[in-house]
Amino acid sequence: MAQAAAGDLAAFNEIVVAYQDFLFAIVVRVVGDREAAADAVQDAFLNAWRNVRSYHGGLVRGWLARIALNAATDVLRRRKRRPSEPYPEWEDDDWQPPSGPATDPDHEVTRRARGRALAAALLTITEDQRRAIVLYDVEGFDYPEIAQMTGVSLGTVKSRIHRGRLALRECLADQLELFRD
Amino acid sequence: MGMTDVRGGRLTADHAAHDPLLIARAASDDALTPTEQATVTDRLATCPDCALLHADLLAMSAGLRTDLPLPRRPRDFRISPDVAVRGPSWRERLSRGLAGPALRPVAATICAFGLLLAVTGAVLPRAASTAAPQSNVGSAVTDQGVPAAQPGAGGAGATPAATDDGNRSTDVSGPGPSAVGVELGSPQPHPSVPAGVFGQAPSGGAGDLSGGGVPPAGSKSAAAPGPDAGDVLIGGGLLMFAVGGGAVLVLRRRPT
Repeated sequence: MAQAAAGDLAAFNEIVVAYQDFLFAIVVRVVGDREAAADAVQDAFLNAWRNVRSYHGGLVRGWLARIALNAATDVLRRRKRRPSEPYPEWEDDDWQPPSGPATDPDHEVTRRARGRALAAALLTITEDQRRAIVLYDVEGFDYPEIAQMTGVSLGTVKSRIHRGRLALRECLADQLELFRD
Repeated sequence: MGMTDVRGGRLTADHAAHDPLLIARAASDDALTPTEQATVTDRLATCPDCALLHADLLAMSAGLRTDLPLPRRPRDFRISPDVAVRGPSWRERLSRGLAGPALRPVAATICAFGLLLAVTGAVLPRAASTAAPQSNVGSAVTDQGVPAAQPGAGGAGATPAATDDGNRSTDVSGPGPSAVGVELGSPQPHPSVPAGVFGQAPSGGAGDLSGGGVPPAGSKSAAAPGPDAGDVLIGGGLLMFAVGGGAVLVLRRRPT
């Protein structure tokens, strides 16, 4: 990071390689559209490169995620003005299966169905709730980190997560059997 | 209601009266007070719907961690040297500057100042509008009319012709420099212009044609009363209030 801050593009591109999958996963889940998310991530890395001198320690992951979320917000704002197509990519083959050892086929089918249901339900809750849930439940950030990234209070973060989970459950009302043993 | 046997327990709770948010907080390890914790424990033990909600939320949370597919990025995001040396476009700089949180205080100040102006305008005495009714007509056009009549320019019987702006009278019959502009509503016409020549009566204002003058064609603005200071303050203040308030709402805090 120090080399990148000194203007070494090759060093910065090593950071890009290390974090691009992570950032794309966050942004595409918040934005819900692969091409728009890719543009947002590209913008985020460019902004990070242009402002790399403003990085003053801390987790690179959090710093980049913050920039990427801002880019995602811009994408969402533009999309409000110019609505795009629905997002069939949640169903397509470009979504890799989750990592982990494969178990029996039935379990795998159920798990995929849960994943699709959750992914679709995520798109139905509010943008703020979705961002908080993606950061907390999917990416594993803690409350203070999310508060810092999104620029809201700790209480607001918690509220968004709790209400977002309740909203998710409402959306999944007819598929809850997938989540019950 | 709610007398259901779930998991072998005796359940007597009425779920509709229970707060789902409390269960959601418990399911996400939020810090609960001892009272809240006791309530949650009681609900989970006695209300089947609360217990189901809690279990569903935990299962969904686990599913979000493990079951969501990992999206495959469509391209490589490494930055090429030619893009790296290029700075942000003027549009990016402008939008970043305009969207910056640093402008929020400025917008808030504009909003507050606008409100102050509007209130000030509302409480101002309407002196201008109540002073002299006949002066209203003239006030709308005095900035156009410049008393510059030359001696000998035009005759006493000359008919004024309005130009396209409708406020300026021009004598087109005279060969020399035209007599341009008369304060139509002015109670005191220029001494070099005979009374009534340009539709101006000494005491009647523009609307009084008793002097034999012809009203200038197209001088409809001459009939409209001019805005007084209070109206201007209210209008301007409300405009500033709206613009500033809108900017405060639009400019979002963005952590850097």
